[in-house]
Amino acid sequence: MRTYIIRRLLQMIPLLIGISIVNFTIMHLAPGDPVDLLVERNATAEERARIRELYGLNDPIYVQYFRWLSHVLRGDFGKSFVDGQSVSKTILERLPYTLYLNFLIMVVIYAVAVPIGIISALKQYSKFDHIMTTLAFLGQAVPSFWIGLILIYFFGLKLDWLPISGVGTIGLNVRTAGFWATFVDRAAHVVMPVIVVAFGSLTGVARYMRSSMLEVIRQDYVRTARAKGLPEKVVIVKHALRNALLPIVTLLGNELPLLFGGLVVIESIFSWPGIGLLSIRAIFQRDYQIVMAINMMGATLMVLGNFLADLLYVVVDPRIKYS
Amino acid sequence: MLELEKKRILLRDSYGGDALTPEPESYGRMVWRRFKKHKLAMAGLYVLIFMYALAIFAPMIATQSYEAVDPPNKLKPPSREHLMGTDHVGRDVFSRVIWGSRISLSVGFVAAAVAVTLGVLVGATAAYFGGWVDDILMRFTEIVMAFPTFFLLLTIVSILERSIFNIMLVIGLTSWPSLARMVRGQILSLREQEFTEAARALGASDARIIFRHILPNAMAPVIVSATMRIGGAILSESSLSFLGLGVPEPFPSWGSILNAGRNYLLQAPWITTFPGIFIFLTVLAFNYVGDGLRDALDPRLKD
Amino acid sequence: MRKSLTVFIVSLLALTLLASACGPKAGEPNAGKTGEKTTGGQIVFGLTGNPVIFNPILATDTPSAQINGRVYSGLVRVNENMELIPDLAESWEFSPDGLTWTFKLRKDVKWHDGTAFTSADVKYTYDAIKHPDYTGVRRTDFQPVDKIEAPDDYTVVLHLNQPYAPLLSKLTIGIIPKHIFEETPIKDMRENPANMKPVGTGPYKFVEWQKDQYILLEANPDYYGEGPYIQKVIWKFYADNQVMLAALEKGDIDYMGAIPPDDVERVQQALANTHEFVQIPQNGYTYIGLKQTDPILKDKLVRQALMYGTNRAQIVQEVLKGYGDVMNANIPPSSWAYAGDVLNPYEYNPEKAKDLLDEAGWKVGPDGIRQKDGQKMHIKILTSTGNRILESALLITQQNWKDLGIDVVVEYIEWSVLCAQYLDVAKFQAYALGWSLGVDPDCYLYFHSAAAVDENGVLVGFNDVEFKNPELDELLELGRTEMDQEKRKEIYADIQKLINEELPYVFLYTNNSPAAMHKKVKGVVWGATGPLYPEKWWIEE
Repeated sequence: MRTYIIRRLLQMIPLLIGISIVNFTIMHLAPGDPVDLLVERNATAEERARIRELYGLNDPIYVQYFRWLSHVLRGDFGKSFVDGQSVSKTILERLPYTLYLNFLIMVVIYAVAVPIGIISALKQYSKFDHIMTTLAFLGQAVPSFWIGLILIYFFGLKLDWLPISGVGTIGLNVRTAGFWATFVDRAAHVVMPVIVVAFGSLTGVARYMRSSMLEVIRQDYVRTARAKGLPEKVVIVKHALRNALLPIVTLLGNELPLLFGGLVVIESIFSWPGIGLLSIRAIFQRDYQIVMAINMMGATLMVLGNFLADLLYVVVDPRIKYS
Repeated sequence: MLELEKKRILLRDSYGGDALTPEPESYGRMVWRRFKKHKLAMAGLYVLIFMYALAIFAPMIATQSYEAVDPPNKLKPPSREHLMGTDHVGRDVFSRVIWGSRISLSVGFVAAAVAVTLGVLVGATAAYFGGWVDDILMRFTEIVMAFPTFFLLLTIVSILERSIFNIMLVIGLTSWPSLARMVRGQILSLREQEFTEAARALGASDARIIFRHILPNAMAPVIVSATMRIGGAILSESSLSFLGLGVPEPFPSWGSILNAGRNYLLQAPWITTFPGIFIFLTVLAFNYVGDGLRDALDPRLKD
Repeated sequence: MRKSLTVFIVSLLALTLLASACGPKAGEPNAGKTGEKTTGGQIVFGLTGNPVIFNPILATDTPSAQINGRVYSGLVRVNENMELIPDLAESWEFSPDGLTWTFKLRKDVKWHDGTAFTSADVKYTYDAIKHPDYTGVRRTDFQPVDKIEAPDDYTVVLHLNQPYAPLLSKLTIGIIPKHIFEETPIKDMRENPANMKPVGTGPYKFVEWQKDQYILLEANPDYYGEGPYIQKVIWKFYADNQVMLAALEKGDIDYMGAIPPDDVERVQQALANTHEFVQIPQNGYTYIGLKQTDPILKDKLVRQALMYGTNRAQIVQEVLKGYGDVMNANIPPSSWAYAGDVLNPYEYNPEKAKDLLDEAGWKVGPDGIRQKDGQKMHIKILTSTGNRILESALLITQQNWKDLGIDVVVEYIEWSVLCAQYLDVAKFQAYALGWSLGVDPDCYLYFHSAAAVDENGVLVGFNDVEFKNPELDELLELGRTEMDQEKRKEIYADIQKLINEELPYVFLYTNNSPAAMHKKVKGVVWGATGPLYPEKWWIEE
């Protein structure tokens, strides 16, 4: 097991390099570059060529790649082509907002989806199961920007209950308004984005929980426990639930990369100043340095998440052996 | 006794039967019998039949051309003449939605087919051979998972061009990795099970073991996931439309109609509502059918 | 004899009076002038895009320009009639040969950090633009300037290598502080932290920018001119235009500058009591560029047929909801050089268009598509994704042209791909886009044959359609070097007539952005490019 872990960790290095090469190449193969977007139609082709030269964008791709890599290895993701600011600093500014939103979303998803999944499994094909299945699929089948705009229209505009964008009222903080007012203000801002995302992603977790639970309650040890005459509650909570929850944990590993910039549409609709909004803006401006940095951080998280999921797989299913 | 057991396996092997269907009833018929019991799945199936019928008979059903503009009659609410109203340049939303069913359903189907084919090939090979093959294929899978979809799309678009087919291809090419991982996981656990061991003990070749014994058993979740993935691909196309990279004008897909109507949500809600309902019903139907198939194909589930 | 500032301004004024009679929608300062101007309060704007950089010589985007316009000042500024009036420069003079321009600067100006503003700052700014390592796009503007001198602290002299009238309008560009930038090599100017925390001489001081959240400016108490009265200026970010519109309706923002035409009626009803609605004419136009060397499009009759065969009035009526004008040449009505009444209006006339195509030898074939010498009449228009007014206009155009018997395809391409693969290399048959123009009507870079593709296949200026006409070349050169405004107006009228006849483009429309301003904001002057003189506005609750 220990050699397996070490081997996998070592494998990550060439893997991440591979990912960075593929990313870099695709990005630079795509026609157009930041200069086109930076100057729009204000500069002649000649002027653009001069600016490109100054930015080193005329060098062969491999030269640009190694230049980039050597900086990254020194912990420097470079400076944005567009505004000249440090990429690491820019990303760090955004990260807390994305983490904050994602953390709340995760809490809501798991807090709601896990009980739904369990009840659906225990009462398979009951009315509750059908309604929950429908609701869960409904969330998945409706585009999130649509729900987002509808919520903004009704709760933001018509009823005027909730603010429609941003993380908080400008200038309102603990110092100026006190703890409670600030808390209420921040909570009001985060409600709609959390609901929209959670509604859309509940399905996966709830369905997963349902089938995991269905599988467990058919296992021999659960039947044995029932046969022994233990009360149903004890059987479910003590024997079934604990085992059914294990595969859910592997799901968490897979969702790790989503924590990072998986919310492009929602951050755009609700003007949430996180990584998703940053990345979509950077992509459209071809700000290679920022896109590469976000991609690499996302890839690292994904590779780590996959690795964790594989490890957890072993823990959950002892039949699988790693050598 | 043991001898007899071996014979049965051999026998089944020779006529290609499934290792897990000891009953005389055919596998297909059993699955169908179980599937029928899932009421929502049946409803989903009917919806899908309806949608495909719309797509096939679109030229007969659509009342007008999907591209004929009529600016003076733009943003008109549903009426007898325009069942679903008109869009921002006066095109008939009903006709566009009907024609759109062709494009959306094809995008879903082709993208899912590409993803499933690649996913099964890579996943099965990796899992069965294990060792360095597994390592290389899985690392490759991870690299693909980290592909920047937007740039991949741009690259493909610049080399080829922005067509409906290329959009199908890109959605397919970027969504197989999770399937590969799933197939691999499935096979990993099947590989350890008794019937594989038995076949191996009987001297069956690697290929035979994969294709005859393991894949059929691993296929159940693949079929389920492929079904749901068609719906997913239809949604992916609408997300690409959100970024302005979906099916190009003037061709209608449900996603592109919905997205064009996004800017008129408050004054002309019908432009978004109708394609929205079609996307929603279709995706929901695919999910239910997938759910029904999951239950019907689950070998551990007794009748 | 020296041409003095007053003569210049007066002649400008006379012209703009004429021009404004034919339609610019610059409005009157709004009511409430009688009230006492109050100091205090705040105004909130909405922005959809993040500003790129708070440095006027590097920025090219509209969001940056809005903030830079309040933080920085230039030597001159534009008034409500698109005339140039003094700002940091008190007065200026041109030598009779037009080669030496002398500016006298104000002496009471301080940078926001307290340092005194001098001619050295002006020289530094212009020198930076002319520096070979400069990474911005203003170099072409300053090409005719040979040397910049600062003989004393409050005098700047520009030496030109040829008379170049459009230069004055380029001097609206904000002056940047030498004492903050001089340590940074010009090549790395973009990385100077001052670009994110700008120090200017304008009426508002930069306070903070939370990216994708808000930008906050506060009044500069040491401002050299009148005001500012409003103490805080805030821009809030909305990544989606529909959400910004909702924010306007909800009262989260006080002003929105580009309300989608289809939404205006509804919003206007909802906000009739609280907001004032105006139209801001955009200094630019939208067109379909036609490759002049294309076998189909090189025929003038075909190009004229396309003009007659495009229902441009309907596009303005239905797509722009009347918030715009049909364009027949390359200068929009908001400019003083506009000569709309002497141009052929090319009113929609499909029959005439068909006749012209027949005359050009393009006869309707058995499949309904016109053909000539066995070649089908096929036109492919390229355009960029994301501009939905243009997209709607093109859907109508496409239909119109199909009705003429032309097989027409519109292809939507992502912006930078369009630039890199088609526009920069001038390879296309037709494309549809818009130009936004400068204050000066000079259009040398767009239509002069020297601005087309050179012998190495490199596009020199913006003449990507490769329009080449010796008569026009001469007029364009004359328009640049002539310093007399009255004569220039005549030259540009001739230019428009020629372009209207020869048609390098199918001219579509120029749009007027519908805008809404909260009525509590008083003293707003509506210029051709938006609300002007923000330092003189005040809030009356």
